[in-house]
Amino acid sequence: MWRRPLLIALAALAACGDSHERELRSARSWSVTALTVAQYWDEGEVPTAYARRALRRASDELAKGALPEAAQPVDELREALERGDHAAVRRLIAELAGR
Amino acid sequence: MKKLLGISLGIVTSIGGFLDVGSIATSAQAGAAFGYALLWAVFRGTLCVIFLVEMSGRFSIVSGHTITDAMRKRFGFAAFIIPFAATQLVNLLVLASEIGGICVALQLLTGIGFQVWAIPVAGALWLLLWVATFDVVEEGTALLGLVTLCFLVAAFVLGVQPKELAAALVPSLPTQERAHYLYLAVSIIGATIAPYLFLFYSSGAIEDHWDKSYITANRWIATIGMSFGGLISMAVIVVAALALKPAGIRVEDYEQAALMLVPAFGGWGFYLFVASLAIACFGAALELSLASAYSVSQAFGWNWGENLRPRQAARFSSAYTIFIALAALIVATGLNPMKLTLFSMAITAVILPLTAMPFLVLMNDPHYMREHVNSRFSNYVVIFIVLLSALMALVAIPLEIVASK
Amino acid sequence: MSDIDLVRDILDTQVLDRAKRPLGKVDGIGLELRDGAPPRVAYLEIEGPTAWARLGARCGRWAAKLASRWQREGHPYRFGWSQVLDLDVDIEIDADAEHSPPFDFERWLRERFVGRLPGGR
Repeated sequence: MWRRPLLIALAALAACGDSHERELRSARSWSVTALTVAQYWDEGEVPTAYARRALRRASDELAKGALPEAAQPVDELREALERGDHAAVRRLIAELAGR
Repeated sequence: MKKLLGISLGIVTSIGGFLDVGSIATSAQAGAAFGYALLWAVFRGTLCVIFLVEMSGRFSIVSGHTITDAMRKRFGFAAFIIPFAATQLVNLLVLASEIGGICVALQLLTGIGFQVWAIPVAGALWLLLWVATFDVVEEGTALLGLVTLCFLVAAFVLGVQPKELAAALVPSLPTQERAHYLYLAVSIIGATIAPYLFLFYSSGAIEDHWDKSYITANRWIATIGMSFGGLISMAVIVVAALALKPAGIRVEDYEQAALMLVPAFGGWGFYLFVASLAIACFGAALELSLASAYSVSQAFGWNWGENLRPRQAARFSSAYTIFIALAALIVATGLNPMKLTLFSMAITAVILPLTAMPFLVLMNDPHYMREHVNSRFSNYVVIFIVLLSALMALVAIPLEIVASK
Repeated sequence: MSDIDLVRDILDTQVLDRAKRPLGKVDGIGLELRDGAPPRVAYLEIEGPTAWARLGARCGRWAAKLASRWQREGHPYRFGWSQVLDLDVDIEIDADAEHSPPFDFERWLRERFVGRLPGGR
């Protein structure tokens, strides 16, 4: 009789326990997204309007998540991109990829 | 010869019209997070929808009724109205998701926020329904919808190995992130077996005056059209699995999904994604708006028909007008479109039995179907898939809500 | 003449006018109770609030209040067997949908909103 609520509670707890893992995964995903977007922009494969917005979104998500220190480099990427500075973007990509 | 043309058109319409915001969002997320693992969900959903769509056509052909009209007649107003209201409410959320999808596509293209686009997009939708006929709406958007075949092409360009896919057609559970996996599985099924699809198909059969000679044609259209459509859905999973997963890019929002066609097509990839998203959602939004107006009109016995001028069917046209307006408002509030989409797909899976079960009763009633009642096999397939999905949804939704806090 | 199942074949069935245009649904059936004789169908009714009343009396009253905005005369709209032309998938009756009371809502919407907007081929 008490088993069912207990099972549900355990399942919920299991879902919660995933939570830190989930945040890390999400943060890594947004960092790679930022790098990929910047790279594609550099190669002329995505438009600036999209890249700018995507990088801002990545930076916002990173700031909220498990790797907030990653937000600032992404901001720098975005600023370089907005300036149209391909060289700076390439340099930043190389730096970030290294980390 | 003319029948063959009609069949081909019907198939093309089904293929082009299959993908919508639900399939794109859920499949992209599934592929990026779990690789090929969730292909079984698309497969099962597609199987179920083939049966349901074929039944829907057969029902209208043989009985001369649309499904909604017959549901009220068979079950009586009181029993009918509650599932009906629930379905309409969910339809509204799905329409808001589709409009959101179009707005997101425009945001991706221009950088201007999706909320801004809500009213203009709704206006365009409404205008098209106001001035066009059923055929133009259905065929036009479906033909444009063929752009979604790019996902199939991309899957091959990226080097998909069909043998690896076969293993994924069997359901399995991952070792990690089970709650999220389950939630996605349920959302995929809700996205694939959308009730509006087969309700709309039934009204379409009546609008196009299908008679008994169309029974075989209907079977071909439903099977080939929906299969191909399901294949495209699977292609989205495959492309996400091959293009995004290896890099560790999750699809938490559309910005990330938009990257998935670039590895295959280079510069064209981004624009193909945007076009696919916009066109697929636009077509689905039109269908959904009409489907709701059909439902309401058929439930209350009003005159209806997209081939009529709005002045000739004022209640019908007012119905889709209000529907579109409400959905646009939901989008304009700024609710995250990706989250809204996934949620409405999951809710669809929950209420699916409310529509599918009564429909099965109709399909087995000789008073309506005469000698064309369902085979036992058809009944079992639908019952099994629908009930299982609903059960899964009831478990998955609360878990997902808890896990995302 | 085979039996007609009132609930299965009549109630909630689509009604068409003589030009086969949709008129409404049979929302209610009126029975005449007679002493020493079985009840007889007195009339069939097309009236939205009547259908809503099947969910509860308050529901019916609320629907009636709403409907009073556009309803003119002739409500509740009732017709008898003598008006029935055909009984098949739908019920065809000898009436003209365009000028019938169930179309009050349609006409009201046309005048107030739909008719005022341009377009519509």
